[in-house]
Amino acid sequence: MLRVEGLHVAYGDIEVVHGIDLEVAAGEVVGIIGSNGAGKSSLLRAVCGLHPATSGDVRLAGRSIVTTPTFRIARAGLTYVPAERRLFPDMTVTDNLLMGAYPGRPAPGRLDEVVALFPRLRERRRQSAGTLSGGEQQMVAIGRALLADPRVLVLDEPSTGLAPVLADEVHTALRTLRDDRDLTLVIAEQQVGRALDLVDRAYVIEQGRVRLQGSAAALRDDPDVQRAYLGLA
Amino acid sequence: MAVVLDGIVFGLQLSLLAVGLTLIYGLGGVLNLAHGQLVVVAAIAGAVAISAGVAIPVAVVLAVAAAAALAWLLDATLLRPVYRLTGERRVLLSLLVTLGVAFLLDGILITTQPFTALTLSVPGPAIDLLGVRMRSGSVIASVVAITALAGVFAFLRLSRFGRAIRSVIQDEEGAALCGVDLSLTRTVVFVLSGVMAGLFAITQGLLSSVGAASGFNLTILALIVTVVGGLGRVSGALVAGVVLGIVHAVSSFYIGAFVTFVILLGVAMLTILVRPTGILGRSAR
Amino acid sequence: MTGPDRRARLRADVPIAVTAVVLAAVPLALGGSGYLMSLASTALVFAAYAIGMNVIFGSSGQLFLCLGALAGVAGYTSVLLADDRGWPLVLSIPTGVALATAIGVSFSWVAVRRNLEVIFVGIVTLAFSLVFTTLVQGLRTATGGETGRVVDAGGALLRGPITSYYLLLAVVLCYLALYHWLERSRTGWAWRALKDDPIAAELAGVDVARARILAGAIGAAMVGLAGALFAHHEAFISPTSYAFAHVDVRVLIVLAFGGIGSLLGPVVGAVALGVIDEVLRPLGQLRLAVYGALLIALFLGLQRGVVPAVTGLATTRTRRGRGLDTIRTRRDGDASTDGPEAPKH
Repeated sequence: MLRVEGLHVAYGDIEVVHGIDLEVAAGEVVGIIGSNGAGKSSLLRAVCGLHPATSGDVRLAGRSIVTTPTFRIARAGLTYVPAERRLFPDMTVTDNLLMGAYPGRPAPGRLDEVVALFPRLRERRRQSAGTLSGGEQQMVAIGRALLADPRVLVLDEPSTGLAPVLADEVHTALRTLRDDRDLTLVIAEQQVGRALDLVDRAYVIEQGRVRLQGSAAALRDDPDVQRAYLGLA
Repeated sequence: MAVVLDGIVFGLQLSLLAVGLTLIYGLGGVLNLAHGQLVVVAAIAGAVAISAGVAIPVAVVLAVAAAAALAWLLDATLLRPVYRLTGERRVLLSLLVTLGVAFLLDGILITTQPFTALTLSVPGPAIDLLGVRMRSGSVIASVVAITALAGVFAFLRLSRFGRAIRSVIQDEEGAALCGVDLSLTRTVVFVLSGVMAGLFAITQGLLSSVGAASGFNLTILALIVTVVGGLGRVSGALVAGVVLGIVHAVSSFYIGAFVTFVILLGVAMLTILVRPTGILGRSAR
Repeated sequence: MTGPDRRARLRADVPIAVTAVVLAAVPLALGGSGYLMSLASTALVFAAYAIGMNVIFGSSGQLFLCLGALAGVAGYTSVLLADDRGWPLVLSIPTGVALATAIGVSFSWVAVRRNLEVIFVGIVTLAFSLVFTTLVQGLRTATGGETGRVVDAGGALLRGPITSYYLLLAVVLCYLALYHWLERSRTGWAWRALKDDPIAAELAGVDVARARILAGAIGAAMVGLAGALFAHHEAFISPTSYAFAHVDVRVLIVLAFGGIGSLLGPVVGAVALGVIDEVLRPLGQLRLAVYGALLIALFLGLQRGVVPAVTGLATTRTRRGRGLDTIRTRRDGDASTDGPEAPKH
């Protein structure tokens, strides 16, 4: 469904992603794990067209999207939820969610589905997004992405920086999504334990390269991963 | 009371002028210093059409179309490289380029059409409104302005495309991630601002006249209203337009034109120093 | 002082010396014509304005759109004091300059204190320009209103076509030397740091407020002095002499032509503009259109400026004079300026 081949990304003269390959099959839940600054966000920003790649290719369902503008990539079904969420602070929660379906209208029942997933949003529907807490904003961001009916949903640090209760709620919602809907999901996380709980398979990124890849179970048992990311000796 | 009513009419016109400017700035950080020249181009196009024997309603449409076409041309040509920049550099380059456009158009219009001015006199009796007599020209101008402003508001609030425009104003990147075509929204808003400028020319033509040399002053008036309303805030532009329109009318009537201009400029400077987000401003966006 | 440093210093001193020699020879060529000499003097005044703008805008990134007004404040003050109050020029001119400097400082101070974005600085100063022009037009009895007033005080030095040229040339050369020295001083270092990234500069211990206010003060003083000398030299002033369209727009063209932040750019640009001005004189009002086109073309096309683009020699540093690159902040949260791993909130 999504395939990245030899992707290089640079900011000015500094290259931060040095040729990454990865592949996500339809219906798969794939993690991209690594510490802060490993190049995860740079990789994802290049994938969704927010930052130009220096070289390499990105294919969505077989078609190259590496030079496609972001809005076309979004319309083609790759929806990215950035770590900074990028909500519309002066618009209501409902309006933010509706923007997810742009340029169309939301599929019938989709709005209710999102509210069912994040019950907290029900009483906040008329509130402007800028007044929400970080966790609630993350819920709106994920909800907005779901309204786009994405073929691939890419989440960048969905639970980082949230209050623990809310982080758990988001985590639970993602688990529900994984189990109940046939979504293709890519999740970038620095909280590796939490990510491995959720994904089928993951890539470990270090300093702009894929260091390791494998099933969630295999990675959890890997001594390097345990030492570097899981805090186990 | 008559003075205040005149002020409200002028204020609605000012809002018409400022809405386009504020939307364009909000959308892409472009402060269009050639905004007043859009008005002048509309006025000259209308006046030339009328003197060529074109029926007035057709001339009015032509006038508005001329401003819209010029706005479209600006967006499609000179501003393309500007949008390739980001942040403050985009703001700065847009300022300098549109300043150049303003002088370019001023030079051409003042030389080629020095005595052309749009005047649309409306026959018919004055109308009594709330016990105040209003010229029929004023009434028509108000109706045009209110209709246009209401139309813009409805478009922004109720349509999906309008919501997309608001989303770009609040977060460009977020909007792109939702599938909003930034370049298309900018073009549409630019043309919309041209239409509003054209309508301003028409309403001003109904009340007095618009000539070739008024571009820069109109830009400044629009800028003052935009700043007082908060750069990029549409509702701010509406409120500030009406308030400043009343201030303008009262002060011109009792004090004089020179001082009035200084007062308006002073209000704009004070707004920036005290509350850069404008009179309706909350926190920065 | 180390070896390479001295060489760098020489590299920039040579162009100033060459400029001095070339410009000092101008009266030999034009001296016969009072008209041409007055054009040459006007070009020097614009070079002086542009150097002031280079300090304010090129060095510290403050968009002052009130150069004409600052020059006018100094000019009108000095003329009013000299002609109406009988002050000697040695007192009236400094008083005018001091007033202009005070205004420049207050804009910089307010901008720093209120943390104004560049657009707001531009709008506030543009509004001030218009306030100044309107007031001059309105205060008819003192200023002569729109028609202007004749200036009596001047003296042989400022009125002689050749002597005034050399006086203005001396002023421009002093400005160049001062600008060059400032750029190489701690202050110049601070300007470059704050232009790259004001927040990082602040964190690195640069007193951003002081650096900006200093630039506002020096630049405004330069512009004010040039404006006052111009008034007494011309023997006539009107709102037009200091109008936004007349001064600010042309200074922007001069700077764009010569390259913002380059040492000799203002001089080259002012000479070029003087020539263009004279060639286009028959066009009348249509000249406005040409200025507009120049502004567009220069800023869109030759953002680097002609001088650095052609020689690369006359810049104080090799990487200066990069047009709008002089303004650069990371505060806008713009997508493509976010560093790797955008900040997480």
